[in-house]
Amino acid sequence: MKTLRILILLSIFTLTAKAQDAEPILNKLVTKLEKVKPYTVDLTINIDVEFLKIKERKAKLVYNGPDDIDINSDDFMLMPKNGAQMEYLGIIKNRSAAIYEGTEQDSKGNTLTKIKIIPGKNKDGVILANMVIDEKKNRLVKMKAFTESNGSFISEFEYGNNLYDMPSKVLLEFDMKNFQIPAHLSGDIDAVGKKDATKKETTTGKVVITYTGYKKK
Amino acid sequence: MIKLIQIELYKIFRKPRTYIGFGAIAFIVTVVNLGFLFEGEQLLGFLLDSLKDKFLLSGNLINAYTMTFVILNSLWIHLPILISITAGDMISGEANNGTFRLLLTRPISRSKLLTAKFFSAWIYTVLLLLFMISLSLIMGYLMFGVGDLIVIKSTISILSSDDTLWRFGYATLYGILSMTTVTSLSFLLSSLSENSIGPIVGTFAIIVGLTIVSTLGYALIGPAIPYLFTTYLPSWDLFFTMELDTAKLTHAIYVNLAYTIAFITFTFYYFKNKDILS
Repeated sequence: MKTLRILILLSIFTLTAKAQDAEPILNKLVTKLEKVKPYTVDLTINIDVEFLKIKERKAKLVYNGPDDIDINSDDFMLMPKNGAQMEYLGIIKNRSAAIYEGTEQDSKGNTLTKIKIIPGKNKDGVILANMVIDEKKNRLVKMKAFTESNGSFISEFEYGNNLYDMPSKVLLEFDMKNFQIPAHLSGDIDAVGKKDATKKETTTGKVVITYTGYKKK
Repeated sequence: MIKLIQIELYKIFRKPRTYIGFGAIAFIVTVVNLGFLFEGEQLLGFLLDSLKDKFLLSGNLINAYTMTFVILNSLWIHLPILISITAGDMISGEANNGTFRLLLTRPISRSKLLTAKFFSAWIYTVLLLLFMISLSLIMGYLMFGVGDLIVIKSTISILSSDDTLWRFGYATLYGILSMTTVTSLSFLLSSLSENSIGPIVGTFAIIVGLTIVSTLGYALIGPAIPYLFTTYLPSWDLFFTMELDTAKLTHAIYVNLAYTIAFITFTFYYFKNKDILS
């Protein structure tokens, strides 16, 4: 009985300690991100989706605030709904719980902090987010988010010497419905009567967004 | 020879039926453009459903290039009918009207006459095709402007607007080649017949028949399909893939050329040895 009591006390102590550890890290990151003033940046978007053939697209992003971002392009453009913009700020700010989950090392030997966040408000449909933060540089390095109805997505951030320490590159990965269309409708008569047994119901989409030429607005 | 071709062209364009093709194309192009003006967004939205879950889409995908591509998709279905109306009448029309004997009493060889008739039918074919493509582009431009081209087959390809016009140029050249095969088939059937209905219906029956058999009877005639000219009537769209399938394109061009030469050679051989009785 005594041993059990000690174990419970230890668990409570550990959990409390972890929660205390996560908060200052997140608050420090929020403070930095909230100092970001309006800026413009050029985007290069590369999309790698099994059923979609599209060349590199260029666009211009105008940031006026976390909830006021405009993306303009002369061409037809596809921009990922989740993970490419600063929705992580909203997730962190509106958290109802944050759990410190320890550390990990990146390929360069840097120590990164792992934090699990449960958003309070249903921000962008995200119900859980696992974040990896470079505490030393005060940067979000990676986020895996689970949404209510749109599956999960992973965002990885790479940084350079940019204005407001914004990312140079974002790598996104997500599951999506595979493209299914009757051959008669697409007019693809080569495909009529042939069934592609290798075609799965879902596929993985990858998007790489490169940010260059950050300028204050 | 040029004089002969001019005479044959005069005969073609004097007949009201010649203008059925141009009228039908103008009607189809207008209807398709208007259809997309009112329902295009919904149709495209349905087709792009898989993407809309994950991506925000912005830009104008319903434009002159997309419209021309959609209209060209019907090329292999209705253009052969319109071509056969004229090409199928080139020889059998003379027989039907009883003007052959009179015509062949003139000091021109049968070969020259056939050449002039074939070139006239071919010029009509080219004009019809150019009319269709240019009208689609102009009407699409006036109604929707230009933009990136979306090609939806078993995959979705989005081709930049500055990477598109050359594709239409080559697709037009290929379309001329494949429709020349149709013209020469119609011409051959016209030489075999004494009335115009046979070659017109015959051309269409052969094209539709072979296409249906190729699709439904795949197990039966599978090995022969790569050698049927009907397999390559819609191959103009090979120019609208991100990476060109040059091997398939070359094969398609050879098959079309082989059939065209075979049809024309047989027509000349048969007609030169034919007893003209009408």
